[in-house]
Parts: sequence; structure tokens; C-alpha cells
Amino acid sequence: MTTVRPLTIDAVRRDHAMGKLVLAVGMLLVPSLSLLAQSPPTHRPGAGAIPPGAIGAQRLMRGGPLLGYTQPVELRAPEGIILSAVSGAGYSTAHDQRMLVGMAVGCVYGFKAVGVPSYPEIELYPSVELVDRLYPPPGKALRFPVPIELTADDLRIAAQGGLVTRVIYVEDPRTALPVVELNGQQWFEARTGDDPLALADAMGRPIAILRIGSRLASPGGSAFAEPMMLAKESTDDPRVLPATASLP
Amino acid sequence: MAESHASPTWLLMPRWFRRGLMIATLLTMCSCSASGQSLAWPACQSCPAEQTDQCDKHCVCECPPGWPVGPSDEYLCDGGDNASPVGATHDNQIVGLEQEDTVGIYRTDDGRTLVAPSTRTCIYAPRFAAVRHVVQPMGAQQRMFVDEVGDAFAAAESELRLLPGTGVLNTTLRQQRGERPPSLFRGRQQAGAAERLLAVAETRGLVGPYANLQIVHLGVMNGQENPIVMRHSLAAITWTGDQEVQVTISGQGASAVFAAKQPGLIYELGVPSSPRLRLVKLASENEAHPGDEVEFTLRFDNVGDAPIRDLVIVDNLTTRLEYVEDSAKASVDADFTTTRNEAGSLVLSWALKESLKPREGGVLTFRVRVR
Repeated sequence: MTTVRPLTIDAVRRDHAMGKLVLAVGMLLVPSLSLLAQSPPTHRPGAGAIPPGAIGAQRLMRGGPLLGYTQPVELRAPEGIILSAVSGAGYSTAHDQRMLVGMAVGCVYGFKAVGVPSYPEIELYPSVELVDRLYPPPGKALRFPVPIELTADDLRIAAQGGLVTRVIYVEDPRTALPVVELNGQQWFEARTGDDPLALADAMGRPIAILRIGSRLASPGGSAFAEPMMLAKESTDDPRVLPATASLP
Repeated sequence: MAESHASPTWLLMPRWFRRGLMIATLLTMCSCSASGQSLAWPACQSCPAEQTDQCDKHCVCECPPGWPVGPSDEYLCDGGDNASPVGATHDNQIVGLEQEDTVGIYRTDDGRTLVAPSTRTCIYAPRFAAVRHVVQPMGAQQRMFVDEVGDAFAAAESELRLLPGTGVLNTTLRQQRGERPPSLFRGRQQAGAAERLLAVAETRGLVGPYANLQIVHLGVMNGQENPIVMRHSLAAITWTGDQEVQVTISGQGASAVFAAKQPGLIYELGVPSSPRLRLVKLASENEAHPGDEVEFTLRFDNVGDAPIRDLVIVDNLTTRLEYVEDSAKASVDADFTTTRNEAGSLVLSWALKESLKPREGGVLTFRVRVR
């Protein structure tokens, strides 16, 4: 007589086997979590090529005291260049050479630059994307704005049809070059194919991205965020003035 | 038995495993390397760099209240003994002296060579640089006349279309003065501390207005000067909080002393014939732009009860600080020399010609230009 027995595995052994399997998977994941935890807050390779606004948005997702903070930014242009901020409401008051504005991390701000030497008819619309902020002592924010320089060379290249991207970063003081900052901000050229954001990550902490090349105030129909016009060094606290807007 | 296995609870893990999983999860969440904490910006990078060791050990750094948390790359620091400790060989060769280190090296009566780091001074002086990348969309066919080709392309398109509203910067309390009673430090002075051999007149004209303090002139810590010393000692960073005690330390393991909240640590001089050097470093400015000049004042004191011999005070400047020629002054007779370090900045060195008796001290000043 043949005895038919159900094909079952001992319940306790099965539970234990399942538990050990999941435990092994968990133990394999723990080192990867620690690696993830130790990763420096840098940008991904290739991030410099993604559309404006995306890098700042990614930075916001990484957390930190960024939301709600207005970072003073000073745009500096060579003599003869007239700058004004661009927004959906129009243009701000034109400024000669220097312009102090407040920006928020993650937004893209548009500006208008006219008066490029040898190209008087060209209107350039550089954009600035803030990807991080500074942490000055309280009350000193206006003394130390993020300097963004629009050099004559950059403007000339843009007027000739090129797209210039500048990633402005805070130098790491331990690896900073022992040279004096004489003629404006120090900068170096990224080779063709290099990601400027990745290079800036290696040299310090990227703060802002300047793009010069657009000839339209609203490229692709999009609108730039409107920067806050800041008073320079009037009080400890930045005095926020409404942007004087006029229709284009 | 078969019915119990067919129930939905069978899909769950065994009880012993579930408990283990919960414990492991709790331990992970409470540990310093929890991914949730580290994925965000590290918790205490805006603290001075000397607290890095504490961050590694204790995971939490004591940032001043209300201080925004951020990285410390915007500060220029000088002083202390960072990373590898400074030492001296038998033939008086200094080893382990790195950028930003400021130490005093001296010899005791019984032939020992000791190293004492100074306090650490930080200045808010961020410097910016840029990486440029140029793309020519037209390649070799460079346009000569932009308007003729209907130049209406957009180099890039904005993704974010938010119009931010108005707002103001978050403002915080600037500092807390008089947090500690003025008598706190006075009560901990060693006997005879007031009998300084260094007269005020000796340092008149040597120190700047920012360093016109009793701690500089006489080496006596006055509680009423705490806020001023705090401001200039740990310039932009440690105005507030419990960190004013670091101006009273004698350099014996800088990080350990910085962590202590009891200002009396330095005065535990139970061992007889033990010379101890105290170095207090002050900066004239809290913040600086490239090109600005900053003056540093180093006050050194023998706070032990034995003379200090062959005292050498060394300051290895960071690369962004450039020594202003002929600006070094000293209230005592000392040989001042400068040597260039491997990073391109200078190492300033004062070798005192005479031994420093107990309760004696002096002042060194020099100016640097922020690059």
C-alpha cells in the first residue's frame, strides 16, 4: 500500500530560512547605506548640461536652510554695460556696471545687458541660477554678496553667437591658490566636453551659474523670476526695495 | 497546522526576525551615520574647523544658537594645532607644522620639550572663483552678422517659472553679552597673577585698539572683557554660546580644551615645576575682503610655576594670508624669521632670546593681507 504524504516543509524551518534570507539582504544593504551617507554634497556628473533651474531644484531637495533665504548677489559688468533685471512684469531700473539684487536658491533670474563694445545693437539676456547660499555672520550678508562678473570677453563671445556658462564657486581656503586677486575674479576655462559644474565641485562649493547667450527676454515663452533690488550697506539688515518695473 | 500556514500572517517574517529588524532599525536611526542625517547637509560645518574632531566623535557640534548651519569654507582660520600634532625633535626641528598652525615650542628645566598651540582665530572672508565653459552652437560657420540670420534662438530654457514674493532675511540675535558673571575668571586666577612683571608701558603703541585689553597688556583675564576677547579671538564664529572659555586655555590638546565648559581647566596646576604656556590669538577684524589687511596679536604667558626656556612661537599662515613686510613687532627680545612653506605662504617664527619666568609674558603682533 502506498502512503500519500503532503509535500510540506516544516513551518519553523521555512520561517527561519526566509528570515535568514532577508537578514542577508539587509546586511548587504547596510554598507551601501553608509556609503550613501558619506557621499559629499556634490552635483552629479553632467548636471552642468541640464536646463536652468533644475540644478537649483536638485539642491533644494538635498535639504538645508535654503528655503526662504534671500541671498544678496552683485552683478558686475565692465564699463559701458547697462544692466537691468528682467521679469514677467518688465524691466527694472537700468544699472551701470553694478547691480545688487536678492535671489532665492532654485530660481532662475534673467537680466538684460546692452552696450557690448563693438556690438551696440546686440541685446543680451544673461540668466543667473542660484544653486547654494552663503552663511555670513548675522547682519553681514550685504557686505558679502555673491559676485557674478560679466566680463567683456564673455559678452563679446555671446554677442558673436556663443553660449558662455560660468559656474561661480566659493574657494576651499585650504586648497586656494596663494595668489592675489587683482583684476577681478579668478577663473579658468573648462575644456570641451568637461562639465563645468563638476570642475567647480572639485575646486570648491558652487554657488551660482551664469549663462550668457540668450537673445530673448523670455526664451521659449518662459518667464524669469524677479529679483529683489537691495540697498547697499545702508543698515545691518538688508532694506528691500520694490523693483521698479517698466514695460518693455 | 496547515491552516495556520495558509493564513495571511504567514507572509510576515518570523517573530524573532521582526523583533531583530525593529532593533536594527532603531539602532540605525540613532547612530551617527544614519542615512537620513547624512543625506542632508552635515550638521555642524559652519562651526570653526577646530571642532571637526568633536564632530567626528560626538556627531553633534555646538553651533551658536540661531546660527545658520552651513559649510566652513567661507572662513579663513589661523592658529591652533590642526590635523597632525606639531612636535619637535631633539635637534629642535619642528615636525607636523601645517597650514594654519600656530604653536609655541619651549624647553623646561628638566630638559623636556613641550608644544603649546595658540587659540584659533577665524575671519569671515569668502573668496570666489569661476569655471568658464564656452559652446559655439554654429561651430566653424561663425556668423559674421547676427541680425542677418534671424538670431532668435534661446540658448537655454528656464524650467522654473516661479515669481517669488517679497521677503526679508532671517535675522538672529547677534550675540549674547555678559552671559557669564564677570567674576568667573577672576576667581580662578592663580595666586600672584596680578603681579605681572610686564608693565603696561612696554606694550604701549604695540597693540591696536582692538587688543587694548588686560589679557593682552597684563595677561590677566578680566570677565568684563569677555565679549571683546570673544569677538576678536574667534572672530566671526564664536561670539555666542559657551565657547568664550577657549581664550583662557593653555594649549594642551586644543580640541579637548575647546570642548570643556569649565573655564578653570587651565589652572589645575597640581604638579610642581610644570611650566605651561598660554597663547591667545586675536584678530583685528571679524571679516575681510580680498585686499584688506588684518592684524593679529599673539599674547603669550607662562602660566606655570617654572621658567620656560628656548621658547619659539611659530605661525604657519594659510595660503590666502600674505604677511605684510616689516609688520612684525614684539614686546620682548626675539629673533623673527620667515620661511616659505610648501603651499606658498609664509611661516612666521619668533625665537625668544631669554627664558620666560613664571607669570611673565609678552605680545607679538603682525599684519597680513587677505589674498
